[in-house]
Amino acid sequence: MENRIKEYREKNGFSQGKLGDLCNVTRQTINAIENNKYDPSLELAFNLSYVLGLPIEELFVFNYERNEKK
Amino acid sequence: MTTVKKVSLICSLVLITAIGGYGIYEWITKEIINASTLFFLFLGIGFFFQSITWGEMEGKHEGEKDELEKHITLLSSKISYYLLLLLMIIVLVVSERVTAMNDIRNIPLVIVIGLAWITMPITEFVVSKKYR
Repeated sequence: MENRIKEYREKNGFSQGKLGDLCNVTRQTINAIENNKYDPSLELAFNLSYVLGLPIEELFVFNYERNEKK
Repeated sequence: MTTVKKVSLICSLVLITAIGGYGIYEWITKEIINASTLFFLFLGIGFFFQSITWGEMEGKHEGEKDELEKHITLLSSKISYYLLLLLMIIVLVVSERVTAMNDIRNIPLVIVIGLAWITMPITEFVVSKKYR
């Protein structure tokens, strides 16, 4: 699943470490999510959308067509 | 790299070098390999990889891990299980030097492989009960 965390994190002036601290995860976790190497849990996804101040569906982009091909 | 990670890496490397060196010395001079030497060598190798991954020799406690770290542990557990099963079969075949099942004399190892084989399905059955 693709996401726009990096874009909105930079808009808010947060470093990966700061965003990780605000969401109670490590910097490495934020980095893995930003690089699409790891899909966060529902709880962390809601936490990220709360901290970055935008709806969850804007933060995470779910590609239905690509999912159907799988 | 943090100081704790550096110290952990150095300690585990010293342990591996010392025990490994002693093991090689014993093997060359006395032509024996002690079980305790092998045990502590494996312990050292375990400490080394824990230090690289988690930054501490004894690893990281479950409660201190965030969700990605828990995901890493979960995925590694499953891979380790199948890898260990495969390694046990290899050890059995190599140590017995036979391929026919009925020629195997090391019954305890066969029992351990059998137990390892059924452990995961039984555990999955018990865990699945929680969600049904």
